[in-house]
Amino acid sequence: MITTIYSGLTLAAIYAIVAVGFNIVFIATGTINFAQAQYAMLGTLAAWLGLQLFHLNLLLVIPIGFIFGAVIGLIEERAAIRLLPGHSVHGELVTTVGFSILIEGLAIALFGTNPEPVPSPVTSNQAISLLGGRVYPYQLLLIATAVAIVLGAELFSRRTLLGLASLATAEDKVAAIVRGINVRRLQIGAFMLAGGLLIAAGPFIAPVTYATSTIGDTLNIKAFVAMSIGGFGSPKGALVGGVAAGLLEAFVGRYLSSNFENLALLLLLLVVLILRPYGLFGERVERAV
Amino acid sequence: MREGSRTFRALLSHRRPPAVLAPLALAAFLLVLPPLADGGLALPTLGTGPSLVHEVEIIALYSMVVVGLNLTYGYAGELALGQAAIFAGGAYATGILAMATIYHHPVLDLAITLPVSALVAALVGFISGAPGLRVAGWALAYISFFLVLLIPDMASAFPAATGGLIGLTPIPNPSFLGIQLDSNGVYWAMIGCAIVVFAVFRNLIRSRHGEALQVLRQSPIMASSLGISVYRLKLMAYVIGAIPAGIAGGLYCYLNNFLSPGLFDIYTAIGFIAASVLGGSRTIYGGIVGVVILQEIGPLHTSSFTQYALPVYGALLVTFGVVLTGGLTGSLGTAIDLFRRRFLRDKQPSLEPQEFSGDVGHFEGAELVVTGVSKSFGGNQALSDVSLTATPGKVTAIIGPNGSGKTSLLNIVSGFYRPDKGTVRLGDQDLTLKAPSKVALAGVARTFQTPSIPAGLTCLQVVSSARYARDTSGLMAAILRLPSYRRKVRRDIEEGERLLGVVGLSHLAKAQATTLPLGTRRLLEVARALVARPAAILLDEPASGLSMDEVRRLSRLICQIAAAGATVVVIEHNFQMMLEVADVINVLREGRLIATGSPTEIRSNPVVIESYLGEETEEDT
Repeated sequence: MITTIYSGLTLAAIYAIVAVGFNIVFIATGTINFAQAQYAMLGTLAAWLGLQLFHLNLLLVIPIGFIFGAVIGLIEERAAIRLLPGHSVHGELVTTVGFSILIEGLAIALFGTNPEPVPSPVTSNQAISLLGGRVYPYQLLLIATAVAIVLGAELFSRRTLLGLASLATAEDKVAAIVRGINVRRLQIGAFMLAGGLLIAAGPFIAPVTYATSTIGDTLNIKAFVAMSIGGFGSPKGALVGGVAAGLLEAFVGRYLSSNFENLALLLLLLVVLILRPYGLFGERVERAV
Repeated sequence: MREGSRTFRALLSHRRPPAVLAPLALAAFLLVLPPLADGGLALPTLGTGPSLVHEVEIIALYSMVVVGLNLTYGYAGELALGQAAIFAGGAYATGILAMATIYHHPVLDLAITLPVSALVAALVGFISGAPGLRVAGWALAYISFFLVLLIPDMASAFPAATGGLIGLTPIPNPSFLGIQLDSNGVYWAMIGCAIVVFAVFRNLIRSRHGEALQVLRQSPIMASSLGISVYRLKLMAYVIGAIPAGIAGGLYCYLNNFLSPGLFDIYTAIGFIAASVLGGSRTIYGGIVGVVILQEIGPLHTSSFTQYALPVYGALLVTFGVVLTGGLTGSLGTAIDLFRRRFLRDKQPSLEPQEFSGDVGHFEGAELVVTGVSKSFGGNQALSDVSLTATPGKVTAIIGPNGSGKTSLLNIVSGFYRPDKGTVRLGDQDLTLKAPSKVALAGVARTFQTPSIPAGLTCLQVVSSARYARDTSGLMAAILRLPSYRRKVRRDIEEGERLLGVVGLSHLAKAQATTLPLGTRRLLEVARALVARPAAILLDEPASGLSMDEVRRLSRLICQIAAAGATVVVIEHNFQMMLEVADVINVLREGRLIATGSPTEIRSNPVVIESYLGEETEEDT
């Protein structure tokens, strides 16, 4: 029971981290980046390359991963968003879906589809007993990382000028431009930050998921479920939604059947959309004419 | 030689050959293909793969999936990423039925399996679409994508019926109306279904429903102001778009007489999207082109993962999403149009309006009463306690400087904003919390500050699109082109042409509406608002962008509309024009109503002069 909660929270941490990536881009641009979860996938591959293959120091792998992610984010913003004529939601959907598949396809072509184990960033690899359940130290580290990222994103968006500028842009792009906010730079920055963050988080995620080139699509959908529950544009919502999704998945998998994990999550998503289409912490924006 | 140049001219001339000819010829050829192939006729084989007949079967099935996708994505504007899941649903419905009745004689009939597969598809479409379409944009894409992930789960959860991850085999060939089908029979069934599906979708897309979808895709706001329920229309398109995927799935069982979850993975799903985008999502037959091309470069049909198919799909989607948004066929059409304009010098009619002619007809006006309306956006009080009345047969003006709340008031009346306090009534109907489409159906028509004109429609179609929601026609009537449907279309044309005449645009009836200059677009919007015979008509800055001469004619038209019985509300900056046209003028400042009265009263009202007219009249002199 407690062990199931731990594994649920571990899943929750992964979903929340990816959902924060979604949120960073959403807050600054009003777009959902369909390719966002592929950065987390790349993060696990990068962790394997850095820690397992080249035996680099963790403190080196994280910043290199961040830069790597930021560069890919820059490329995506340029190729899939900036060039788009008219900036319709559906244009962005197609190009970001395309970018997602492109990343995944290249990753599979380069690394194959076999999951590769990645060493834990903490030295002790023994499961410990905690409050009557068993948990690995790297799980606890991952959960702590997720909480830190969510708190950081929340503080950043509410307390800093840059964060407030992002919120303003998401609400009304034209008004933000009029107010002198450089919307274009903000948009590029958001894609780079989100990309960098997710790849930098790779060493924490990879011990759980392994380095796997095909996890992007699953992560994509589950992080979207987390964000829908919590509300678009709310980092703390991402955490709450992630916990709901992670626990549901862990408990259904443990007590029902792993065949029904995805179905349960889909039903949860449908119920949320019916009852609270804008999530727990999301706001309904009135349409301007 | 002469023959050749005639074909060439026919291709480029105004009257293109009927668009159904090429598909019909293709269909006829495909139907006689198996005997030809059996006769040992030397046929080119595509690649090294299976026989040509087999290839054609795959293309027919996938094209059916893609034409459905085109309806939801290209026309309704919702990207259904999981069309593959619906395809799988249809396949498993038939497959499970077929295996369950395998020892039963006679074997399962297509007359049973096809409707069952179609029904399953429609159900899956409805269950995923009804919640997914509540939030615009991403939710539907994700939900339908999610469905694809569920396929292996569901197969392993119910192994007795589905054969688990191993799958179902051998699925016996079906009968059709009691006649056992051999492999040629199955081929004919597939081609026959594809022909029917394409015919149905052609008729549906080229109908009032298709036009309404184009309006909706361009601007849901505009669509709802025409009385169209955005949600219902999108859901309808999504469910209908799912049906051919289900039928194709049902037939897919007989392709290799084998089904397994591995046939329907995320890469198949992406393959369908790529085919749609490649061929042109806003086309009917483009899907065939897309599927044929992908069959060549990315082996869509094996569906098992191949190393370079994915990056190719990804690159295709990014490229076509960014550059060739019309897809191959759409871009070809644009190129032909450009060529025609450039070299054949089509006579372009003047884009300016001519003399206004004809009678606006009669309107059953109703009194529009706004009582105590307040609205704030965050800390910004846009309107506080505004009350005003607009009477039938009169022109009621609302003037005020920028930011005084004029357009917010209009948006509250037409249902786009909900007032914090206060009520809006039209005659004896309460409009206060009604959705925009309900307000429109109650008899309120409006124009927009920035004219909202959908691409791809002629001026006549734009005007008559306002009749779609008020004078409805059923789907089946449209698909079968029943007399009742034809009558509606005739009325659309009559009414549309009449009102185009009223605003002086008769000569542009067949011109693409998006090519018009701003002033002419405004007049087109007025015609569109009038065609619905509204009780009240709201005009948001109709004179801006118009020439002096056009303003004079517009003023006369506004008076005519009021004289014909309608309640006319005009928001304007052009004070001079309002003095001439309006019966009652309401002056807003900072969200408050500061004066109401006749033009003479307003002209001499000291508060108005001080706060609003002071600057304006200085500029005028």
